[in-house]
Amino acid sequence: MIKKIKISMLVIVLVQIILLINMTPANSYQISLTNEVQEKIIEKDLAEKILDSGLKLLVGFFSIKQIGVVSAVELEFNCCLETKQGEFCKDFLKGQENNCKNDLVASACDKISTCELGCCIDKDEGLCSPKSMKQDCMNSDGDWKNEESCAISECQKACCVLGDEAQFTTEQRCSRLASLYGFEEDFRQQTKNEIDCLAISASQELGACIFTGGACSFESEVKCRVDKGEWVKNVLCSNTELNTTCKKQSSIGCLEGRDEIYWFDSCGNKENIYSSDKEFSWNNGKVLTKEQSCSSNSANIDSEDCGNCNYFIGSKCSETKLGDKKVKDGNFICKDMKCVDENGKTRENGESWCVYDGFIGEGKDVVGSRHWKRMCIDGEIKIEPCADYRGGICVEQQTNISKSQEFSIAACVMNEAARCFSFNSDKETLIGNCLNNKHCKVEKISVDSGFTFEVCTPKYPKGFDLEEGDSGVCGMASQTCTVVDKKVFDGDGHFVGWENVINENCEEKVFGEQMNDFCISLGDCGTKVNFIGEGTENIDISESPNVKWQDYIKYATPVKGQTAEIANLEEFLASLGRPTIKSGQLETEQSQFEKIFNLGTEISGGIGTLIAGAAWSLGTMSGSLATGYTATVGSLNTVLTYFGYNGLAAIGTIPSSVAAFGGALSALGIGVGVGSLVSYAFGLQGQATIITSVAGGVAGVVAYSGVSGWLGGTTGAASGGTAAGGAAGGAAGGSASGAAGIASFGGALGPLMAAFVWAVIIAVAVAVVMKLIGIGETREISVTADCLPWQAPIGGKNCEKCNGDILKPCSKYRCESLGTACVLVNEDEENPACISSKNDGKPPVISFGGISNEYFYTQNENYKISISKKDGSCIPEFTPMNFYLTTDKYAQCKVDFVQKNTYEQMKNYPLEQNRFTQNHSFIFSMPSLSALEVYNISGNIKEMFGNTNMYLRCRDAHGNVNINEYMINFCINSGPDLTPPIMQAASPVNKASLKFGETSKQVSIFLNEPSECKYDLNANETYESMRKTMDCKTGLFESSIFGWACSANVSELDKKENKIYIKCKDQPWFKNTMNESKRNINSENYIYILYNSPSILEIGEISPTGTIFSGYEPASIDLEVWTNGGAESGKASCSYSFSGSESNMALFYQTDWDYSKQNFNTIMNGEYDILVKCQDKAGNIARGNAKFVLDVDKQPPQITRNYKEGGQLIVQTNEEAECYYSLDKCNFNEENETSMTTGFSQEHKAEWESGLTYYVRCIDVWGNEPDGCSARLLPTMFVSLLLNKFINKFSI
Amino acid sequence: MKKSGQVTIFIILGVIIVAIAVLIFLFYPQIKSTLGFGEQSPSGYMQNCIEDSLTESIQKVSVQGGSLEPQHYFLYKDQKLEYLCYTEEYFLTCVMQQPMLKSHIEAEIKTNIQKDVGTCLESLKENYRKLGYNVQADEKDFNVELLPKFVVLNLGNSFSLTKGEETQNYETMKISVNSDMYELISIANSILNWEASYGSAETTTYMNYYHNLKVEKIKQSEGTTVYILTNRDSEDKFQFASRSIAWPAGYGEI
Repeated sequence: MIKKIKISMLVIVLVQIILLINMTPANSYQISLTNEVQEKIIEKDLAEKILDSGLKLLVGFFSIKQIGVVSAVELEFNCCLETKQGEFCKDFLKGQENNCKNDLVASACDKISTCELGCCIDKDEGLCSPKSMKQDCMNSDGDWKNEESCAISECQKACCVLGDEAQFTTEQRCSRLASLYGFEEDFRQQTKNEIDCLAISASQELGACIFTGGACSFESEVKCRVDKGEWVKNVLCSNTELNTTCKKQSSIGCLEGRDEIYWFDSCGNKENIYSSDKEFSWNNGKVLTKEQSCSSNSANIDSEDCGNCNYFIGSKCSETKLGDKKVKDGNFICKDMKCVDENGKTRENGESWCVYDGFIGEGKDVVGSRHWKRMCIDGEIKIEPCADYRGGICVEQQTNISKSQEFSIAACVMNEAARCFSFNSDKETLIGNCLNNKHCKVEKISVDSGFTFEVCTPKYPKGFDLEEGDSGVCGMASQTCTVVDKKVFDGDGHFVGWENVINENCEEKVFGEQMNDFCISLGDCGTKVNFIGEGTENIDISESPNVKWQDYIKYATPVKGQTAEIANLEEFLASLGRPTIKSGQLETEQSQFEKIFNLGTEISGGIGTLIAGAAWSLGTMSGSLATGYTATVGSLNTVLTYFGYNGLAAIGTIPSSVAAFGGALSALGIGVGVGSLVSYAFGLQGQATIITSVAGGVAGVVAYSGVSGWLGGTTGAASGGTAAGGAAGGAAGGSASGAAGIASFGGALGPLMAAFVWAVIIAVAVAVVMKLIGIGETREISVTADCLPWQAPIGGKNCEKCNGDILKPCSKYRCESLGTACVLVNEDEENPACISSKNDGKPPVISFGGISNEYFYTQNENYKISISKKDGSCIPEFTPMNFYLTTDKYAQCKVDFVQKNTYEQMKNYPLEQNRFTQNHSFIFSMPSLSALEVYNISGNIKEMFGNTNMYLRCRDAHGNVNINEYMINFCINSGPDLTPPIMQAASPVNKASLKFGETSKQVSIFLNEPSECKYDLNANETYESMRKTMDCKTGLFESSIFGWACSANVSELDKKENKIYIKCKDQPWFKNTMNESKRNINSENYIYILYNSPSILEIGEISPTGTIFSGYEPASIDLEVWTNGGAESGKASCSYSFSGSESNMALFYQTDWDYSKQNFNTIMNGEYDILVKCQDKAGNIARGNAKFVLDVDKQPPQITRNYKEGGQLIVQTNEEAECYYSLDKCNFNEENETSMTTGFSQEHKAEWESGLTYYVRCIDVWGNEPDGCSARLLPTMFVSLLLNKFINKFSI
Repeated sequence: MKKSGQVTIFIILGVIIVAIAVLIFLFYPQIKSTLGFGEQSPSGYMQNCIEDSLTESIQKVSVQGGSLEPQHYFLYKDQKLEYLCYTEEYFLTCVMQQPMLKSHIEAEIKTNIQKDVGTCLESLKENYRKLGYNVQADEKDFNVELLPKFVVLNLGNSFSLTKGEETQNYETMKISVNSDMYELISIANSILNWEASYGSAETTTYMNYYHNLKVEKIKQSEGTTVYILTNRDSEDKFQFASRSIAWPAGYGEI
């Protein structure tokens, strides 16, 4: 009989494993549902959990560079000045393999002068290059300036007129070009944009330049002067009145830089625009403007009579071939530059539009799809693919150019998908912020009253690297809906059935549909299709109907007329490189830059947090958002911040105790989840569910604790690494410290897996007891949605569908989305090909890979192994066992504890989930059962695991599957709890600082198991003699996400260093019982230290203040703050706000020290009042304001006074300037004339010589100068103020 | 009468044709001589000798982002395209790799033709010696200069050719080939400034401003952008690679 029970229990356990191994661990709210049904609370809890979960991002908390800086310091980067591949200034981790050409420099690159970035100016050519390295620039004889963005006067562009041409360039370049072309420099500073400049070029007046002997050249006056000819304005060289040798209308042709067909005279000079009406075109030998020429309102496409082609409305001069249409007098024509697009629509030359692979937006973009920008250029359709993986979004704006004709302008803009996640950090502003961003949408999950929440997700979800996986993002949409039913009794009190209390819709199809929509909106997750309409199912819905990929085929078809929305017009125009309507081009460019930078920041910080969350959720085997840890933790970063680890989180130095603590909580979540479902399986309700769930939870935690200790010794990362890596990922945003996240991820899995296994065992046992005693009046059904990364269809039959369309070249992403066997070849070609890898027709060969040291495996027969201790015994309690299998090729594997006929029937994945890999990892462990003795659970459960088999099958990319399973046999023992409680976290964090003057503090510590704790300010006390008792949560139900809390308001913290000594005693349920002696007490104190801040935090200085002068807009200024005092001698984190609101502050680019700095290079003329707030680690806060006025000086210096003194002519200016004079003209080159100034000054001198005329020109420090002279001075013997005024009146 | 008139015309035409043939015969050797070494000036000789090599060098560096042997490049259509602006990070704007692009290209072209210039100079001297000249050459360095519409090779060598009593001195020689490299580099500099500042340049703008310019922008999955600038009239080309504000697959790396 006993044997039968054991067997049936084992079967139950195994069934439960199958059911649960891939499920999302239950949330804490499940517990709250069991007896009292509180709809509002359920809803609120769930929404908050979502908001606080892994989606919570660190908006603007860390900038990319700051991460780099921190990493550089902590991780000891060394700089390679040049790699063997020719990269300059590249950081390598100390000791890391590198490819440096020479020895590494023992410092991070950003600390080395030669790697400093600035503006490199080619002095000869007048070309500026922003973000140039000092070394590169100077080695090439460049002039390097410490202004990275080149916002300096030397690089300010304006219009340079060169004869009848014009270029928008720098003054130095203008000078260079003028000298090369032989013109006088004509640099027009007032023309500040390229369009206006080109307009100047077009409006240049031309005329006949006549030379002796009757030669003539048709050119500008300036050029004619250079050529020393006689210029006749607006007259052609063939004009008979000029008597030149040039005969009219000798030939026709195109002209470089012009769109029209022109007549040319016999000397080769351009005449007027071609018209077959020669007399009209010749215009009596006078210039005819474009507007005056034939059919000027038309593009004159294929016209035989008019050569007035117009580029902007679709035609350009083109030479014809034999048989082509041509104008009457030569082989040229106004060629049609229009295009016909993929829909047969005529597109104008220069028009651009968007093309998509399928439906876009609403989170439904299909896998492998890309946004494409197409352009009509000179009659040909050109493509410009937006960034792959939907990193770029194609937006389009249409304008009516006539009543019936539209003109489209398209641009690829960055996909702000990551920003959408950041809006979830604040529930109050979520909807508003989300709706305000055109790249985000509010995903409303409204399945039932108890399962309703809103979350901001990308409208255009980003694509994932299908080979590498999704980094755990998909797991955020894994959710559990708890359906609650209550017992219904008849009048006699007999149970007659169940009545739903809440969430009954979760058992309907709508649950799967909504959850899959949520899942797919995160990226390439869930059940959906690729761009050719082939799909796979990647969401696992339990207890509710699943969704089919066929339901999503429609999204693979583009919707006519659908385009992505333009977030804002300015950004759109800026992306086109055009000036905006209300502001200058630079301003808009900068705002776009800031946007990119800020987005990068958000992504950096934000995604890291996602990853942190994902690492944890992956650790729970399901990647759940609302798992045990998320039930209260939200984002790992929030936890770390809460515990004072916000700074350390970025650099991956979280103490392992804290890390392990988080892991234990996840384990708790697993356990609770397991327990809940076991309860369900046993038909338990109410208290029975609670007890079973909690039993599972406790088992999970205990198991975790045991295993993480082991892993700590074996992997070096283990539990500590879990949090450290996760935290690092969170804070550093996938930067350098993200690597730690990867390393730690594996470490997390072992303990959590152990927690899972053990939770199953305990939960089943408790469930049996509960079932027997019949506790409970409600029941819960956990309906889960497990969102997995999208997988391509098996095989490679569709690979070719990526090829063949030259307007949509294939890419790795597109190719891999078509099938698991598809590979891209010839990637370096314009049109790479997607082909199927060779199918060898053989299933993957599974081999044993490896196992942790103290274990041993025996190959019983082919495809069958046994695992045991080296002495042949079973795996002991508290000890994790991890092993991995390998396949001879990339394969996806599934595992089960019960034999199944086919691969498809198997449900559970190894640790790598559904990814195709060659290593397939597993971890198992057994915890202590003693914690459950309080519930009088009896029986020799360990025997159930005395002989367990695990079955594995794998399939390759072509779908070749092992027919026979690979079987792993093992057995496990268990034993009593002998470990004292472990303090895993504290709030405030240990060795934190108190604010200045603070003498008491509410302190909480968190333990891995229910315990009672005491503390004392004296070190040498036993647990019993300690005077202060902490208020501890000792109930099994009273765990928080950080563990079981013990709190106390500690006072008398008046010393510089306050040490608090703590001891704890576990298993409180044995209190005052015969088992009191079994309770474990810490033999040594936990020493918890709090330091006092020696002074208040103060802002010592803020810069700038007062009036700042600049010669141009936008100006570049540095906001600098110096702090002192506080907890760490002024070290503080400072933020600023232009609006003056503290709710919207941005962190300084350079901060977390006693000096903070932020550069702004978009500052425009006006008054500023920037709020600055600094906060140190202890919470000391200092505020200040940077009030300043930016005075942009665009005026040339004015001469305010001139007089004679000591035989010298003295000229005074209203500002510091350099003055020069010439004695014969106003338009002079300063370099060739006499300077009146030494450096910049307000006083300028020259020798007084009566009778001469001094043409004086003054230039201020910003380069502002008058177009002609500042003054023309005529020194006479009657020098007086009146005369000065008189002279100035005649100033030129 | 009519017949005799026609005959006269034919005779006249015949005479003219014969005269032309005689003239061609007489002058043909002279025409031929100008194509070979003959009486060419040293600069004419050098132009003929080095022109192909110079053109080839310009073309070579043009399609490789301005470098003869790109060290840090993106392979595109079997062509190594030098990264002129690069960052390996995601989300960040690139750092200029050749801030002084023009002088870098000039140096690269110079390096490539150095040997040929030497060979041509030797050959020049040898040929003049064969013609009986006493050749005295002052060996100096040369430089390559990119100029609007041209690439110019400035040879600093001065020559003194003496034959009998007559001495001819040649101070400097300029060899030039047509090329739009100067203009294309200017556009490339502008594009690179966009890349370094904002991450991406809008190509249609350039084409709308400069109608004889074709700008192709090919984005690669891993974040690299290949730019190909072509002058539609001369078909001169300059192509290079840049990697700026690259976006990773998904939301970033773990």
